[in-house]
Amino acid sequence: MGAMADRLEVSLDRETSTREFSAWMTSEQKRIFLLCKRMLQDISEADSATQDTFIKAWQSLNRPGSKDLDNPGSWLTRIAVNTCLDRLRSRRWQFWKKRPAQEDEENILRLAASSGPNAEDQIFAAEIGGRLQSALDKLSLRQRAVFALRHYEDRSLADIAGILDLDVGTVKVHLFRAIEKLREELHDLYFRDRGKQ
Amino acid sequence: MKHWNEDDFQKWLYGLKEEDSHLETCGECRVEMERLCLARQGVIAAPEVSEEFLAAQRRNIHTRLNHPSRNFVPLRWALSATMLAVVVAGLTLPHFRKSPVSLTNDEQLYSDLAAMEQSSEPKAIQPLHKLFEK
Repeated sequence: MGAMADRLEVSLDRETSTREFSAWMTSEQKRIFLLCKRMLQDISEADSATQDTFIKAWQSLNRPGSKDLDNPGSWLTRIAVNTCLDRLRSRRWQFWKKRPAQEDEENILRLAASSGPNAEDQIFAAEIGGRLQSALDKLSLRQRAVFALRHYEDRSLADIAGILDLDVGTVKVHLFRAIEKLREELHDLYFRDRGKQ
Repeated sequence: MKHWNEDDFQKWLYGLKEEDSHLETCGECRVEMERLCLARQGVIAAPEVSEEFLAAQRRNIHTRLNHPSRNFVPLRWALSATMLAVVVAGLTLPHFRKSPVSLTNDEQLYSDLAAMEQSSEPKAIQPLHKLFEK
C-alpha cells in the first residue's frame, strides 16, 4: 500500500509539474520563438531551436538536485541564445541548406493588422525591420546575440551580461560594434523622416 | 549649447550613453528623445505569430518530451571511426606491399655460380648467341 501511495504521489507530482511547465512554456513560447527567429533568420531552424530550448529546460529542471531559479525568464533566454549560437556555428558546415520559401514564412509570421491612420508607418516599420534583420548577418555571433537581446527584447546591459556570461564592459563593446555595423539601417529606422518634422 | 547628434541619440537608445545636463535644459533634444522612444516602441513591436503554428510547436515539444528520440551519437562516432580507418588503411597499405621475392634456393644459386665460373665466355653474351640460332 505504501509503495502504491509513493508511486501515485510521484505520478501526481510529474503531472503537476508537466502542467506547470506547459503553462510556463505557453507564456514564454512566442518570445523565445521570435528571439530564435531573429538570431537565426530562418523560421524552420527557429522552430527547432525553440523546441530544443524547452526540452533542455525541462531536462534541466527535472535533473536530480536542480535548484530553484531566481529568474526563470533570463535562464530560459540563456538556453535559447546558446542553442542559437550552437546552430549558427554548425550552420557554417551546412551551406547547401536552402532557406524556406518566403510565403511559408509569411504564413507563420503575420504582421499585426495595419489598419488605421498610421498604417503607412507600420508598413514602413515592417520594411525597415526586415532590412535590419537581414543586416544582422554582418555581425559576429556574439554581437548578434547582444544586439538581439538589447534591440528586440529591450534588456538592460547587466541583464544581457548575465545571460551571455560576459561582463558589462564586454557587452558594451559588442553592442557598440554592432551599432557601428548597422549604422545605415539604424539611421533609416530612427532618423529617416526627421526632416519632415 | 551643443545639441545631441544622431550618434549620441543612438548610443543613448542602446544604453551606451547616459543622459547629461544638456538634456535637462534643451527642450529640442528632449522632444527628439521622446520621438525616438515612440519610434522604437513601434519598430520593435513583436509581430504576430499564428496560433496554429505555436500550438503545433507545443504538440511537437510534448511528443519529444514523452518519447525522446534515440541518441544516435555513438552510432555516428562508430561510423566516423570506420571511415577514418578505411582512409588511413588506403593511404598506408601500399607502403607495406612487399616486392616479389625470388624463390631460388641455395642449391640453385650455387650451381648457377659454378656454371658461370666454368664458362669461358661471359653470361651476358648468351642472348646474342640466340639471335644467330636457327
